[in-house]
Amino acid sequence: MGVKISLKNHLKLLMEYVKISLASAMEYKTSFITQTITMVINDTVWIIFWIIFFNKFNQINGWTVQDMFMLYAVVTFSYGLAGVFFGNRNKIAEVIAEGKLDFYLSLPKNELFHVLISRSSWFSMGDVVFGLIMGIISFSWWQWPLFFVLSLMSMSIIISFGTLAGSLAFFMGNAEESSRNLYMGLISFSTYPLAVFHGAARIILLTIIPAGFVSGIPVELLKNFNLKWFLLSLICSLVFITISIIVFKLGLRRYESGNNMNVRV
Amino acid sequence: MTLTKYIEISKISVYNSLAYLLDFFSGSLFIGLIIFVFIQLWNVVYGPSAGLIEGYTINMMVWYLVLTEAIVTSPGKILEEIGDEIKTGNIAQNLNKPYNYVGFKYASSMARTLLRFLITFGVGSLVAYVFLGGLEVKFLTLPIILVSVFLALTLHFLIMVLLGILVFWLEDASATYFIYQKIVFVLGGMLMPLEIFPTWLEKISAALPFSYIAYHPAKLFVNFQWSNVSEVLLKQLMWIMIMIVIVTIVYQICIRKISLNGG
Amino acid sequence: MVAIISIKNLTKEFKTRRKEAGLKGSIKSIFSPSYKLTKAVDNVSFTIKKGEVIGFIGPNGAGKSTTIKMMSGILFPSKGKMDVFGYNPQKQRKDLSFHIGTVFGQKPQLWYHLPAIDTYNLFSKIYELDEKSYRSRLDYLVKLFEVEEIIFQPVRKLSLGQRMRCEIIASLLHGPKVLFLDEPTIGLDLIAKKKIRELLKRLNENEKVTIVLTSHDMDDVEQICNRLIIINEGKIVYDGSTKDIREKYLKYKVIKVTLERQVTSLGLNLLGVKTIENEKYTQTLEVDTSKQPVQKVISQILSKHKISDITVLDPPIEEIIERIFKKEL
Repeated sequence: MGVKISLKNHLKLLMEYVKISLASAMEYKTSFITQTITMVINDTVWIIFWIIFFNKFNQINGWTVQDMFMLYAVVTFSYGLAGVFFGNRNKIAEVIAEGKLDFYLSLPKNELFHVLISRSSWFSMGDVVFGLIMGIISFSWWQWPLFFVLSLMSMSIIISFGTLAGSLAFFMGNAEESSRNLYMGLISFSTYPLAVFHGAARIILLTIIPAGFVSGIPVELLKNFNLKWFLLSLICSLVFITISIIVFKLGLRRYESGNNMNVRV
Repeated sequence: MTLTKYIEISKISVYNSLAYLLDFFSGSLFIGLIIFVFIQLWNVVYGPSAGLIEGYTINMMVWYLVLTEAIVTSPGKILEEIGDEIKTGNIAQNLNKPYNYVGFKYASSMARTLLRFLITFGVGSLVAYVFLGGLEVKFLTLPIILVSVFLALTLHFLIMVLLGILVFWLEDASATYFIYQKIVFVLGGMLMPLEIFPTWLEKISAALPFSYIAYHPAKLFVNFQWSNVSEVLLKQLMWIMIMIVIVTIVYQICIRKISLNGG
Repeated sequence: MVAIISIKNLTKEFKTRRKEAGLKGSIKSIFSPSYKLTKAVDNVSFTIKKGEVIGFIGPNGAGKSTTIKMMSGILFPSKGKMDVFGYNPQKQRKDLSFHIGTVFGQKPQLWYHLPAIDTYNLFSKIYELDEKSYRSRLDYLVKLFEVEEIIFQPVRKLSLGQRMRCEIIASLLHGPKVLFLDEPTIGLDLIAKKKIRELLKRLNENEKVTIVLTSHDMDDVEQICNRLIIINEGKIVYDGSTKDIREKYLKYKVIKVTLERQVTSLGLNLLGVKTIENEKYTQTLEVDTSKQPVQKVISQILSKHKISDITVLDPPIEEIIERIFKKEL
């Protein structure tokens, strides 16, 4: 019996985990619904903030409140998808520190993929719902396919960034706090209009903290499609996926050799 | 494993001394990031002429946020802590102790809160100063501002205690905190001064206690007016009194329920 | 019979950070940490044959779990050779995973809020089992472990013993040839422990599954393992049949009696019985079972005294190891 690390089998496994997470959520229906609604309210409050803001100032560097709606559609939808399907995206440092990796190591599936999918965040359901609502408000029919494609790319960047931040736990002491802050940093930057950042800040947001590619660039593309920036977005997500896989692998090697001194075995 | 036991022991001793500070700093770095984002945002809004918006210069606008962020984020997880004790029934352990539960929580959390406030405000100030510039504050007014900040933290604390106790009925502590936080962000005027709001929203906000946590003390800080002082401080005290009464009543009801049901 | 697992000169070293006392030491260890090499497993060799039930025992931190983790490919050895069913665990962990099952007593794999059956279905997908053989395998295991009703109740509602039975099933679905169990009876009460032992024994007899379990509970091992490997400070101190150990070192039992009335002495007149502790109401005796059967001691105590509690214990594992050392030296 050889090991088939085929994409198809891993996608099947992903669907299995979605099913079992949903079953688990249904055991606590009220909690699940409360958390979903809470997230919708949370996102709504932010949109209200921007409505007030643009009501006063009309536009900033060409960005209008309509652009903000689109930005929130992309951001909440892609964060939501990441949370629902890859719920451990921001918990990898904890998984490592609590010694839970052993479980994944003893099973015949790709460890990183398996870790990522084995949890589902219920709060994220609210993000998905809110993203779709914002999409219905902002998009014409022809924008939807592009919206889905761009959201998938944003989602990949978010998950990869979370994996990189979490993999810090392989290499340094207690990394839970730092990795959480890095991840929160990416979220925060991606909820503001890219147009307000200039110079070094803009470069950072289009490279090491790729918040620009998570939200700003997708909004520009949805408004005016531009092949060059679309390809750059695609390259960005592929590069982040690759780096995160490599770094996680390197960390895993350290873990297997037992030189990871921060694990509560 | 013996091995990890020793790692744990040495880790604990390191953490005991450094953990709090490191934790505080890393939380404050996040605040620094938000301040940075808003400097960029306000820079674009004010444009090159950098005039006044509703009586605020850009420096006032940013330093306003430095103070509100520090006030709002420094108490940490009080709501979740109390919610947890309520849900597990552990709160009952405090019943036979010779102190008032809320008073005890206040004393133990206020020390942490003030330390965190200083660090957060420091990091925020540094970011604001480096990326934007300073703010003119009259030395004499500082004690009054500090009193107002202290009252704001107290009011903030009391509302979180109230919500923490309400977790008994609301079930989900983190969801409750999430929503409360967002209310303070907008209705409390944490993100921007209430003058920017449409009038109807400004009126709603004025009738609620949240602006006495963020907006009022921060406005005293960036735009000190002697004519405002007494009203702000008195209203803060008034809301504190009201909250103490409500907390006391709700606490009693909740405790009675817990002791009846055994947690 | 042929060896299915062979381990040669296995060594595992860990780097641990050393720290001087106090705050100054804490800060210093952050900036210029000094390391110490600790051998968790030290030059260990053994082979395992098909169908054996092997107990790995030793005090906490002796290196039992580390050895099991290395055999299942989770941890890589510093030195030494391993062959598990012809695989090298370090290089072929995924291939190997189809042939082994692992249960970590302190790290549950079942979904806490769901019935165990849901986790089983998930595991059938993880191992890519085909539906039909999975169903019949599950039916068989569920009957064998007597959990027909239990697997449909949320795991959080089960007792610890029931949970452990369900955990073990999860690791057996793919029909592994060897089952590694790390502290399977930890935290269980006596009846639940006994049940787990019985079931493992039955499993071994029915399927010829090789079982390797770690424990710090001598009772566990004595009841089901035909072979014993005692490990202390990373080294094997004993590797042989359980029978030998029982005859040489487990001939002592400890009886703890709590009496209703205070006495100065139990007044027993039996060969091979020694009082080791005499407190107001509680007396602790050591019985040499080669000279005196435990039943006789107990029945004499019962006939002479009114007792409120009585327990029969094995001497703790540390004491057995100490005795082994004494004999050898």
